[in-house]
Amino acid sequence: MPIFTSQVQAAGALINIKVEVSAPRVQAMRAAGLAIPQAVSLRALIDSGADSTFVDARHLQHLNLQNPLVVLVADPAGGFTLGLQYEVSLTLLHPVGVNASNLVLRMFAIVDKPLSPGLGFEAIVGRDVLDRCLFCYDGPAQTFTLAY
Amino acid sequence: MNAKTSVSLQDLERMPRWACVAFAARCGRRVQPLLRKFWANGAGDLLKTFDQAIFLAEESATNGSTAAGMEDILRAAETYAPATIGVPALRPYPSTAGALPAAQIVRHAVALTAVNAARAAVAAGAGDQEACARAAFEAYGWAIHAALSIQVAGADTVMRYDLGCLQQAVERGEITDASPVAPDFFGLEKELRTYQRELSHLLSEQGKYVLIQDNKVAGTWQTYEDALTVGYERFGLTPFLVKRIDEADAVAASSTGTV
Repeated sequence: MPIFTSQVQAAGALINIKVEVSAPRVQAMRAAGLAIPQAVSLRALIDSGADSTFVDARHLQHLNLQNPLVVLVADPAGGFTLGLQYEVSLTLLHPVGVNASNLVLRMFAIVDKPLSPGLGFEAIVGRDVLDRCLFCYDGPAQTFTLAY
Repeated sequence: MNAKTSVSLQDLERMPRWACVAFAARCGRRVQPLLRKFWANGAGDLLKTFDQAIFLAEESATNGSTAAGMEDILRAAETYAPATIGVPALRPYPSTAGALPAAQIVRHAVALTAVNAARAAVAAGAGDQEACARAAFEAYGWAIHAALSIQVAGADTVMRYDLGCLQQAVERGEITDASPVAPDFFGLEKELRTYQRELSHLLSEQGKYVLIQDNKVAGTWQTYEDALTVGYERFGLTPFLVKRIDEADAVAASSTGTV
């Protein structure tokens, strides 16, 4: 079971993620002779108060994601958000930089949410990802641990 | 309607008139379910009038001409819209006026969204692009207001996306001033309508994921991943819908609504 511990940053428990075109769509694009867009690397805040994973889709434009669904989801800031839901491949990057240690979700639904550039992260990892993980926030030590 | 929004009147003035009507009707569809949710005891005739105003605006955009009965429905919707705000309760002197309950604000905003979608359709039929754009902009503004009045954020992003789809089609030359624009123009609309139509049969498999293309249900699967994989295997890069079967969707009057 991959596990890592990191320091809590000013913005909270931040991790690196990678977003790319979903695996079955990649296969369909290859079959159609289309070029596969490069993955996008982003900083993400782990937020156990968010029931979905949000990504600021302005960072995903070159992935040319198509046909979003409109969904009503609980907003991490309270209340509800009407959002565009896209299907992607989402990877939580383990700090050691070994592929086998990453958490790879080859088909995953994310919701577009514009996030202020000053926040220090471009995505919010919610409980739909945390449901597959063990997440421990150690306030006194200002560290967090993620295992999956 | 003071919230900062990302669609401007100029954006709509640059759009072909039936695309403006399609956008206004789309705004109505996005918030239409809120009217029934927040006005459960509203008179059936009144509710039907607003539903019909949105439907006929869609029909008008679909056919590129103002639908039969549109002007009558517009007059009825304009007449009934004030009723959605209710009659202020008599307050004992010297109590002060209180804020309107959110339910009254949201249903009034939805009603005015429908009214303005109908106005856009009538103006487009008369060839008045300026009035059409103005009405579409009002419909958009009231739809945003309806969502914000019940603390639902993000409506602006969704409607901006809808407009962006239309703008891209205009840039590609696929939509011109005379072009009709059907609701199916918006991605997965046909599939979502199929889902709504079949939902009563699908509910026996609640929690599973349904795969739909056009007006056909291709099957149900236990996981999102399984349904998506089969979808790409069968349909390649042509659009298809994978959706979790949810009882709550039966409450929503519209496939693309907010509740």
